[in-house]
Amino acid sequence: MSPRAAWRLESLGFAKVYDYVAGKLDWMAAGLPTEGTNAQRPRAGQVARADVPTCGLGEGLGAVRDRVRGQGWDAVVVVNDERVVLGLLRSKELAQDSGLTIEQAMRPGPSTFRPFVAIAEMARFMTEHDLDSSPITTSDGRLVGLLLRSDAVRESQTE
Amino acid sequence: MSADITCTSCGKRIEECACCDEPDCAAAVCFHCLNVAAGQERLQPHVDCG
Repeated sequence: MSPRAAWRLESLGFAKVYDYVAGKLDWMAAGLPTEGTNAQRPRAGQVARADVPTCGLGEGLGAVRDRVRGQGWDAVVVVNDERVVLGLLRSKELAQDSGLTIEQAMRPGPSTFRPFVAIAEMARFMTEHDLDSSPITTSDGRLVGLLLRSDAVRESQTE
Repeated sequence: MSADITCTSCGKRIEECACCDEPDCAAAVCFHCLNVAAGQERLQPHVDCG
């Protein structure tokens, strides 16, 4: 909350009041709980698949493709040791020459969305831009999961 | 930078769509407009904290 709101709560007698300096959006982007009417609406972070396969920059495309497809996926997120998203390979990138490294084959710095974005908005963006999937990350770039358009559209229709 | 498309929301010339990363997106949107539309960025009504 804002510093003014924190001071106001203290004036009302609340003893444990904290000013979250990074702000409300950062709080929500970390997937932390919220209250109120909007908190009941499904959001990107809840619908994203946290079990999406990941790989590193130095791995070979052929081996990663076999592993990913063996798990029933057609996309893989490239992360570092901190699980920060560095790239993305969807079906088009995965179909390239097996001899490439992931770093050579990936789509670098893909657009990402925060976990608090309403699922209806995500469904609209992904349909409008013909995106099969979108990485969902925290404010500091750590992977939360991969949101599939089919999941986003289905969830938005049940709202 | 070869800015060939414009943001369909604000008209700013951009290199690629901030949503799909494609340089020829028909619904291209800039980073700022996308973030505002997604609620990832708030328009600030004032700069002095009210």
